[in-house]
Amino acid sequence: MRPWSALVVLVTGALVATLVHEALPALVPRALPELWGMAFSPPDRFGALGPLTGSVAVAALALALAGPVGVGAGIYLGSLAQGTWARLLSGAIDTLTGVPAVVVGFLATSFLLPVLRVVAPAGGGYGLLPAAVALGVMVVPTVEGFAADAMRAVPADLVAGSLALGATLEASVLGVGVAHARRGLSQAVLLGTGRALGEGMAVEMLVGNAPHPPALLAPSQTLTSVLVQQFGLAQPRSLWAHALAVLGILVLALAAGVSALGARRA
Amino acid sequence: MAWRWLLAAAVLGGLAPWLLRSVPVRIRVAGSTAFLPLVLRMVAAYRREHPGVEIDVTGGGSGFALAQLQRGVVDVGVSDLPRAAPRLVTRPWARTPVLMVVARRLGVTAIRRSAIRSLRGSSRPVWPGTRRPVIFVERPYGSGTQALVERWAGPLNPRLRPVILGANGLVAQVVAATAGATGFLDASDLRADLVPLRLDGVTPTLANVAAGRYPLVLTARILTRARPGGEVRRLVRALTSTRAVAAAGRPLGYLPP
Repeated sequence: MRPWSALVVLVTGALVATLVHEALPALVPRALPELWGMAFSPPDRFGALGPLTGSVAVAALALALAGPVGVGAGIYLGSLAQGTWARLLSGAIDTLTGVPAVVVGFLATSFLLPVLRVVAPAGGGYGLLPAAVALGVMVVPTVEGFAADAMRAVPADLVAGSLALGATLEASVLGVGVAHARRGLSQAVLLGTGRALGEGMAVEMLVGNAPHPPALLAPSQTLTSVLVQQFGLAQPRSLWAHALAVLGILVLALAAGVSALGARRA
Repeated sequence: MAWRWLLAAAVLGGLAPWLLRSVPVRIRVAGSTAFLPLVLRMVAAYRREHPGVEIDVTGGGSGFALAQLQRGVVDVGVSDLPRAAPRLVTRPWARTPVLMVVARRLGVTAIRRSAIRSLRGSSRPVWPGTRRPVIFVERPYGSGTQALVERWAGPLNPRLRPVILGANGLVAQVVAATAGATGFLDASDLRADLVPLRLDGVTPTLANVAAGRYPLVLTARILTRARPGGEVRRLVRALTSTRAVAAAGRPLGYLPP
């Protein structure tokens, strides 16, 4: 097993080293002020602050939508659900896991944007909100999976004790089981956040990609939407390519930070 | 433990020449999405005549083609960007009209260049004769279509928030679904629910492009890293044949240079 784990460490290290090497020319004092802007708009503006704020806002919004649904479904499937309904719900969530990001983006473009256009015609319905809704749909299975695992890890004696004292099954699960599994449940939400921060394709299709400060219902940018749209376009060894590598490091740092927080809670 | 790794390396090393011999010639082509239908049509014809050659075709845009050619990731690029490409060999290839489109239900069928420039320069653009706001659907920096549009119609007011999309198909879908939206497309992406506007009174037809009357014309070039040899050279020669471009291109809305 050791060679394989060493390989994982090596690949991760190589990934970080490559990104840092590619980003270095944009991190020198002369180029650094460029990164403080709110707009990433080549060929002359490479502000990372706007896309960074957009990414954090989209992930937070997605988790606000998907967190309660995912945790609720996890609690239900991990400790209460039985029979046909449990299999049906579990199958539906498994199916959701397999839907590619581009399909989620396409469905949201077809069904969600027309509704949002009525509310905000000037922005065409694009912005952080549709991206967050699509991300929320994609994140639910991740949150549900970890939440259900956390609930399954609750010792049966605890719930049985509560039942023996006369509490109903629902009250026992919610009062005793959830209290015991709260670290695992918050870890599920954090891992969902990591997933939301790293997703690019669906976000690129729905956020609008305008180089402006982030807005709920007006075209905006996120780190991953800029990366998806521009990574292949940038000329090698240009400030544009180096600035994109900085955005890549920011995505990596955010996702790694959230994962580390999740691991500490486990 | 180490002897297993050595054995695996020896087996792979021994098999490598045989594995490499059995890999067919593979050519990678990428570039302007506006000219992708023509590339696909001509490559399909080339594949039929040269069955042993594998050709991968992707879009990605002109900027993508230039960047990937310089990285050595693709062998043949298609670019409609006007900017020079250092260390790349370029050959003129094909032309196509760029259509300014709006949703059919908007009711607009023609516009003058001065009106477009004024709309793009305004901070609150509204379609003339209506109170409907104009939503600009643009392409990312690095797109040849976007560069042409900005040269002809002027830059957008910096206070406007355009929707920036990477794919022609998405531009068509969004403009068709949004009364008030406008974008620029090549002829092959035109849908029944979109209207191509007459620009300065000229309809976007191949005849008007050939006569030099239609103002928005995208010209594509075929690019390679150095003067290519072998199969790549044969493919480039087949792609740049004026007669072949005319035959394959006309039904799709393209003309030879």
